[in-house]
Amino acid sequence: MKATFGQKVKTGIFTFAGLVLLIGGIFLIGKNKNMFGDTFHIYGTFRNVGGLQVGNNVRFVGINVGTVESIHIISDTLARVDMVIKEKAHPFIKSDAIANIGSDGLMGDKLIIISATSDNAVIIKDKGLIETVDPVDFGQVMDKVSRIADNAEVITEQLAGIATQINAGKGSIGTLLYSDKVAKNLEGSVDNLKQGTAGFSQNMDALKHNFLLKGYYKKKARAKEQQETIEQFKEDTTGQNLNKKEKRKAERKLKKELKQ
Amino acid sequence: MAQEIYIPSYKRVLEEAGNQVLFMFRFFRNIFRFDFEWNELVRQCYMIGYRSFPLVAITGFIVGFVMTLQAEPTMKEFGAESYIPRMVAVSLIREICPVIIALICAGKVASGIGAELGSMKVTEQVEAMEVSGANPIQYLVVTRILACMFMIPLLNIAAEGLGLLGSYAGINIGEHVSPVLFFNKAFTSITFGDLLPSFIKTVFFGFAIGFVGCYKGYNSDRGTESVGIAANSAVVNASLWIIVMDAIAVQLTNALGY
Amino acid sequence: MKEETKTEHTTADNGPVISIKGLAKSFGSNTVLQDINMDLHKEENLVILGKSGTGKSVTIKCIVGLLAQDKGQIKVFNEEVSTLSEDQLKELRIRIGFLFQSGALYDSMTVRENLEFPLRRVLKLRDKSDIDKRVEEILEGVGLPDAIDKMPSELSGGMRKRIGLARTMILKPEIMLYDEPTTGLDPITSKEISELIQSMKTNYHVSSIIITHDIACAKITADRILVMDSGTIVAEGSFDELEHSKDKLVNSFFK
Repeated sequence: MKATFGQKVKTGIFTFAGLVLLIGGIFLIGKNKNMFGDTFHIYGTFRNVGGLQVGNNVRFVGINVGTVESIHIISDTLARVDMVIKEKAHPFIKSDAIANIGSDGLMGDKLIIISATSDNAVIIKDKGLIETVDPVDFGQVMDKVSRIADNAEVITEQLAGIATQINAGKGSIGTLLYSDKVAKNLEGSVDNLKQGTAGFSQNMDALKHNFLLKGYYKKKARAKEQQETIEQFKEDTTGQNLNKKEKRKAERKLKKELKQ
Repeated sequence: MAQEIYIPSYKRVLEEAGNQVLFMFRFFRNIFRFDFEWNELVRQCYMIGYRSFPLVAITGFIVGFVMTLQAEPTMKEFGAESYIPRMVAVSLIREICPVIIALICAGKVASGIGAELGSMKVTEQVEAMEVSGANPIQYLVVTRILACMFMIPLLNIAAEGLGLLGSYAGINIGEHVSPVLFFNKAFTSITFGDLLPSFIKTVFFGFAIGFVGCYKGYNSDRGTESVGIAANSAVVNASLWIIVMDAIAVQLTNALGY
Repeated sequence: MKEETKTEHTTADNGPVISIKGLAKSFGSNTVLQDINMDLHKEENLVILGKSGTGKSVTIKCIVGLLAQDKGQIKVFNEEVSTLSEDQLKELRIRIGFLFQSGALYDSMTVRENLEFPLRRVLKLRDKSDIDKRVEEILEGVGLPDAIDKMPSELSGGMRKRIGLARTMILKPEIMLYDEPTTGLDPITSKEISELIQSMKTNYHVSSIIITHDIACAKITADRILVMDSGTIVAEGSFDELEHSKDKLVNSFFK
């Protein structure tokens, strides 16, 4: 049976769409691997690449600017890592920049971090060598950790000694915690303080009744009362739907009364 | 009357294998014959590719969607939710989509070809074509196998794309992730070493589907029930071929370092 | 024209077009043909009578090379069929028409596409108007000009046979092989088909082998009849001769 025109068109569209998807995928992968667009190459040598793999990211100021292109062993102690970097990042990477190997999160991939050291150096050359810092070796980390643990042991031993002395009531802290004498002295001081404050409040009462200061205290009490009345009134009027004029009138009236 | 000849089963297996190899030779010889059946190829591409698309699209989307939802609790436990797009993308493209789509197409396409050619064989249409001097292998077999080889990879690509879309939908049930971030993450982990073997693999899966379907249909016996047998054994054998080929492919890609 | 060169006569005018000597064929342990000897002459209708399963169909399938014989010679146009290369066999098959029992129409195609199929693929015709002309002409010949755009599933058994015949005759073969042309048809349609076979001989000058167990068909079509039983030919003669045969088996066909 002959393929009809509609079938041909549908097949054509389907094939075309599939190919577009395929090419789109290839392009996206290539874009992530810096296969398209302008790039330049640099390389660095490391004693230990710490599990870095071809295709890992290269970061500069925290931005992915390239990928690891290849890793070769060049001698019994050195590995050469070639990187492809986007041309856009080229002007910012200087010849004295330093590359080191880090990792992305706790269970993340390894990556190369390029960090700048100065502003005035010249821009790094294409296919140029970049200085490197070897990544922290896990063995070294363990070494440090064990030294820290040793120190901690010494410190805890000493602390334990101090604690036993305190328990035995030796030294000033020991006396403070374990002798009754100090506590009794403190009780006596508190009693004295109580008596002192009672006397002070009597003095203040006497002052209020003194005629010179009587007016001041009276005024203060009236102002407080006035304020309360206004607030009371406001509460009343907001509940009802009085018009503004009446409200203002009533307010003025009330204020007059209070002034007298 | 001649004596009943007993044929041991291993000889039958060898005979079957030999027949398949001969059939394969006939197929390859007829590809490069004069008068290629372009029109029939396009029609078969329509039947095999376009007509299977809805099924494949739904499957691809749901596989991506379900994988994401299944992976989420476990990945959350490890605090590695941001790895879901990468994980789903790599597993979809390397393994799950090629195999699932091929198996689905084995069910849909291989059985269809097996039944169609089987019924043509039973009703003597294949022989009629042969005795009229036309070339049934060229017209019926070459077009179908080639259409499978072109269309199954395309269907697979479509399913992979839709699978990623499904995964994106799955992630967005729980939280909001922008599509740019999702696809960026998904594609950072995919390399050509993932895409290319997967693509080549599906071409071979397509060949297996078309070839087994055609072989079983073309060599079906007389009688109506043999049409059913042809369709059924086409599906079973094509699925088996796909699984075995997949096992070989993974060894090959690993050996080649992809 | 291309097909003119292909259908050119290459045989001597006097000799038989098909000559079979000592043909034997078995499937596994089942011997179907033991020793078949026969000749088909030019412009002759040869009817092979026999019960079902006596190897009549196997014989004509051997003639077109669909099955390979175990023993014996099959010469068509003086060429041994089993020694032909694939291309030579294809050339030969163009000159032989084969009508299958069921008609064997390609059921995914319309009648027109069925008829165009051999024209485009065997004769490699490309000219649309030429193809249309031939299709209409042959449909006229089998008396079904209206069926041109129908699907095979819409046709009756007799119509399918006619279209099947048309598809075979469209290549203008020199030899026609009919495999049970009237099986499964009612007597009236059977008679029509038999008359059609007869008219093919007079109109297109073909030599034919007609396999049947239908005596009515044999009566209309036969110039000569062979009677076959269990892989051998047991009787030969004209319809009248065999009708009065004393042989029990031969006689049973004519009752």
